[in-house]
Amino acid sequence: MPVHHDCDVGKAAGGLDPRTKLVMVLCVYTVACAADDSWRLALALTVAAFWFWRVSPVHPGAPVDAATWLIIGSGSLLCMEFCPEWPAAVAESVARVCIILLGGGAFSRSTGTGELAAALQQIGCPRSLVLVLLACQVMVGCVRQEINQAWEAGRARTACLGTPRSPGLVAAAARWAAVSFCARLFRRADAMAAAAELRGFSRPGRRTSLKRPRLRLLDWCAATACCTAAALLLWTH
Amino acid sequence: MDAILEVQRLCCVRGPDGCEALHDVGLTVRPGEVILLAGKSGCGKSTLIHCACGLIPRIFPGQVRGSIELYGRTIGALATWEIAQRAGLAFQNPDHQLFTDTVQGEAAFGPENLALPQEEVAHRVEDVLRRTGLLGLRHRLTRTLSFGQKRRVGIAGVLSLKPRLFLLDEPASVLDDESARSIIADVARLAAEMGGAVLVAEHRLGYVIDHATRLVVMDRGSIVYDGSPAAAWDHEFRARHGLRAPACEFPKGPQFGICSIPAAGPVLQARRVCFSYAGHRPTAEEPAILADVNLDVAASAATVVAGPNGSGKTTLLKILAGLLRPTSGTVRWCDGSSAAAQGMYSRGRGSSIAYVGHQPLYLFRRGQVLRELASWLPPKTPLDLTVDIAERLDIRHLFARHPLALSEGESRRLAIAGALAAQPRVLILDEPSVGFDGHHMGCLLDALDRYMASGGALVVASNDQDFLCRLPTSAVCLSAIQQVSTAFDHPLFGSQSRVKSDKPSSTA
Repeated sequence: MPVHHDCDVGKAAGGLDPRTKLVMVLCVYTVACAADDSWRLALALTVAAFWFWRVSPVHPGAPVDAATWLIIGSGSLLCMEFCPEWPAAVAESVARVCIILLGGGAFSRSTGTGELAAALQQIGCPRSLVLVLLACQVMVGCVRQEINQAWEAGRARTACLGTPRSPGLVAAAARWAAVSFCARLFRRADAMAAAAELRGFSRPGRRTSLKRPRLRLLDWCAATACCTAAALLLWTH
Repeated sequence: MDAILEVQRLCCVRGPDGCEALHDVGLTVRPGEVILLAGKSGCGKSTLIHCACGLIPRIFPGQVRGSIELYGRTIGALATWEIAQRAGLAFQNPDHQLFTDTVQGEAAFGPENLALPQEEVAHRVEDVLRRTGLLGLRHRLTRTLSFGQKRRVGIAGVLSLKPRLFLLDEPASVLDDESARSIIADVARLAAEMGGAVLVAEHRLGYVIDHATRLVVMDRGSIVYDGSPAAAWDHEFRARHGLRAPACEFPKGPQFGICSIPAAGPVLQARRVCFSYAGHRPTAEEPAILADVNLDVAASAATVVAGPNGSGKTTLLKILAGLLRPTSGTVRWCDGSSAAAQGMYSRGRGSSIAYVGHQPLYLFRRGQVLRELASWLPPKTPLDLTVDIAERLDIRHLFARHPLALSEGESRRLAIAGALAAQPRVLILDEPSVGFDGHHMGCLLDALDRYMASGGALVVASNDQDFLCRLPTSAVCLSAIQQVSTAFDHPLFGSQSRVKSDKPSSTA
């Protein structure tokens, strides 16, 4: 049952206003934290997993599609319901962590830095908090880039010089990669801070934004549906 | 006429060893001026630019003495965001500058911070994206761009601030010829329109010299020449100050394609290599990064991969080095074995591939330059070889230093020296001449010449015409390569969205 990205709810969810997506994430998190029933947890896991998958880049021929996620969610639901007490408790904890990671991942994958900053400002977040969150989001991307570069350089060195023969050399190589990684990351963070400062990052007062986020009918519907579903799930409990 | 920037008796001490990076520097920048700042690597050009906009000592450590005035106000009395309204700096490394996740967001970041009205932000974004040839890439994620495209985005981010003083730190490095020319011309024009000025530090003088009104040459932290740019045409003057030639001709040079020497017996063969990144489905608007590329890499020769920014040069090099797996097609040694597999697990001359990319720092594993260089030697190779290579690439004086404490240019020289010391069968270099002055480029060319003379196969991706024209060009010709470049809407590239060369177009 492959669902195409061009005309589905996932694309619509990715295009929602960041404030709506924040509400959706909060609803999913609330269910994840408050529910102690495996059925509800499994439902939240399925929703978070589905959302995450739908806002992820298209992988042609990827083995995991919407149907797979639904089967995983339903399967975990059944397993948790019928398995003995202690594995169920472990599974529930794992499910909660997965829901939080998937929900956060779906939000960050579908929300750009610019629109996040604008949305946070619109809900009245102080500028300092907006800038800190913006910087955090940027640094996550930098860390990922630096890890890729370090990994690639390690492979390039190995391709030229061969694989280190002793565990000691492997450990030394790993230690050096870590040192280089930290050195580069600090240097990069410094330079990025300088570049941002020289583009008015620390100017007091509100920022403007190229695209002013607007709440559409779809946003109101999605937010209302999420809040209602979360409230019903918890209230019926 | 009031000066935009006035620097008097400026001294700056920085670095762990407390060396004097600037000594008694005086410089006045007036409206309408385009000042070309030149000199050897490490002579203090970047330090002067960083001091001029207050980054030293505010953000980067350093002790500064002397006076710096921006529009008649002491720089110390201005907040950093006030400086941002007056002076804009494009960094040497674009990765250190990009702060948002999309091209459009990056161009809008400065005006948004300055709280300009939404319409003005949109107008400026549109304008700078057009000027920098990025309109077609406006919604692209910055992390998916090539290094050269990132450079253009970085410059767009500065242009959108519309400062009256543009400070550009090696803006032309890694840019393709046409982009470099058009961007520098645009910055000069924009500055002239606004009654501003440009201070540009650059090794590739050819792109700036036509627009420059003054040439300032630095050496060991001091200004040793401040006068007419015409001096750069004098060979003796350039040799004395380690400058590159302001113009060069690449008689049979590659223009948006792949060039290689006709190979009698290729060492490495790429056949029908295609590549798309995971998650990307090639479309008419955004074709595959590489499509059906065939390439022969010959021993004792240089293979040059050239093309506009974002055309897939680095991707092809990584595939040759075994760092990326092609979506389809093969890369094989002349004996038919897979290059990636053999390169990964063997050691010693005659089997390996050495790759030096944009970020060489991660290649290093030792705490001292000498030990690092020695670690690249094949077993049972005399240590004298490291000294020999170090002398050729002018890094012997750095032997006691820590590799992580080197400048960009120095660490690139060390990485290339290490790769040469490993005596690989194929040496792959991605933009090796970035940050190299005339003297060091001569050293690099000499070292590469010796490597090829000893039977090595060299593969170079570069847009540096000055570097390419000094490679042994007598044997360079266009070969039967198919290359697909990404879409460009830059006026200089016209509607050329797919560049193919199915048949040999010329032979030397």
